Amino acid sequence: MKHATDEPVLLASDVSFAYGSGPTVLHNINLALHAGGAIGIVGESGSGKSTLAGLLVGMSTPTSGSVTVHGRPWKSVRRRDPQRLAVQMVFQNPYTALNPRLTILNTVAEVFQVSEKSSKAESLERARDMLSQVGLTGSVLNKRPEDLSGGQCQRVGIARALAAKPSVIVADEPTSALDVSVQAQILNQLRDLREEQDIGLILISHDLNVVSYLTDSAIVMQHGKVVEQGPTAQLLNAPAHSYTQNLVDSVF
Amino acid sequence: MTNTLLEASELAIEIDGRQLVSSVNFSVGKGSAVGIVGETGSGKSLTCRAVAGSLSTIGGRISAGNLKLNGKDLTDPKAYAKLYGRIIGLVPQNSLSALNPLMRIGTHLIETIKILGTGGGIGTKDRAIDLLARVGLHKPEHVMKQYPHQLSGGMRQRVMIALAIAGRPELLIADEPTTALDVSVQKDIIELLGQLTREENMALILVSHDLGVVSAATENVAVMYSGMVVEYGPTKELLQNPRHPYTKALLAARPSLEHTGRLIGIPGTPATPDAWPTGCRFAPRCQFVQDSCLQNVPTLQSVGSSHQVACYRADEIEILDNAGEV
Repeated sequence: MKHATDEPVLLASDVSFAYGSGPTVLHNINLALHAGGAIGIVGESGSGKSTLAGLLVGMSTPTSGSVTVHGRPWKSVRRRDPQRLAVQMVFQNPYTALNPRLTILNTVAEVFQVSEKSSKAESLERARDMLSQVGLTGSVLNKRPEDLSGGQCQRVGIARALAAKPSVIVADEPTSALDVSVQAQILNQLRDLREEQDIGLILISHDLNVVSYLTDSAIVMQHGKVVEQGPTAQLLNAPAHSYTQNLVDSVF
Repeated sequence: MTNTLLEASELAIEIDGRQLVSSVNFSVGKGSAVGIVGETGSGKSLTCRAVAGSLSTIGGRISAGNLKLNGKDLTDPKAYAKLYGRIIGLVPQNSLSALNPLMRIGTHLIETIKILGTGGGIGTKDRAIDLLARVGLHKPEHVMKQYPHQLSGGMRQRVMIALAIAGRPELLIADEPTTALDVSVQKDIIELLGQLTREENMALILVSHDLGVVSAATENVAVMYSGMVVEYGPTKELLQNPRHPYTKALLAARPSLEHTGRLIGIPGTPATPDAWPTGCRFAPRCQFVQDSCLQNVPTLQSVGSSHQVACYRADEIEILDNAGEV
């Protein structure tokens, strides 16, 4: 584990959220991610995990409270502000998360063209580098998502996120659509990113085995509230809340 | 075995003339539970369809081998008319969308019970309520009046199980019954399946991509890889002493609360039907591969009283493992 600096990279303070004029679906969430840290968000369908992810990456704005990135609230980060790229997302379904009409090389090159105004040739070159970092090389680079396996697609998703040079990756169930043998490759990839590049990780998952493998602290959510929060190992070995206990008991 | 209910031997399945599954061997004893484990495209669902008699709906057929239920040949599609629902019950894979959204839960059950004629002496409606109670649904009278969208995923899955057991089948096939469900619900459903099979003396075929799920509910398990059964044996023994390199790798690739050391992934991706290797289908990803593996496809060989492995090097691998060289 890297030494955590004082100022959190990503900070949610007292965040509540409602969709439109609907009921409040997130209640007073607090979360602080330091550089190179990893936090797991655990809970069942409808507990608010993915809504929280949307707030953390700045796709939606809290009804009250705030989310800050490197100390700046998302509200003040305008669309073309480079800081917008600091938090990147890796999605649950790798097929629908990629543009079906672009080759995977172009998918990643596009990020460099937009984020750094790199020339086409330079972007392609850098995209090649980036994709080889996630183990994709050769003819596969000219394929489109539909011609790739789920694991390959998810690696493209990770490469696309990395191309934006993020400080944090928010991964929403990144391996739940993958087979076990492929899942291990992706989990190792995410683990290496933290250790080698100090990229922080927010991992949303219902799989406690995966959470225990990748994170050092975790929050447990139920009905939009955090019911337990703490170091992952402690949370899983000695759950204090009955709901956490129930989740731990359900692990095969 | 005299109490064998279902026996598959050297079963092969083809779709549109292409052989997708072969060398499937397993048997299910009366009242016992067998798991079929494998990844996407390994052929586990096709094997299920073969047993359930629904291959023809996707243009498939059993192209070789034997499939016998109570000694009766199932490779003849006509054999199914009288079996379905009565002898074989099926909980399908996409069961969450399998209920008619415009029909109350009670209507689903009553229709099924009428068709199967299994109301018994207690009347169709009472039998329906009894079935819902049996699958652990609270206030079954109330659930009878509800529509599918008013139920949670776990509740809908329970209804599907109630429908599958309405005909008091001897064999229940559950194809990935918990994939779309939350973890705690998943555990409940697996426990329910175990409980029902014990209470009703029903046999169970449980299909899953997760060895953990299968280990919780079955006595025997068949591991499938790229359309073939590569290892078959008692679940406990197979998990503790896996003999096929694929089974070993699958276990090592699975994160668990107990082991937080680095996972060992399996390099590459599974072979697909249009590019099946000549020899062992796992060979391109296998750390123990040698020349003989590339020549011919290994067949299942006994390595214990009821444990079978399709690997040329199964014996050597155990020795290498024990010597700590792997």
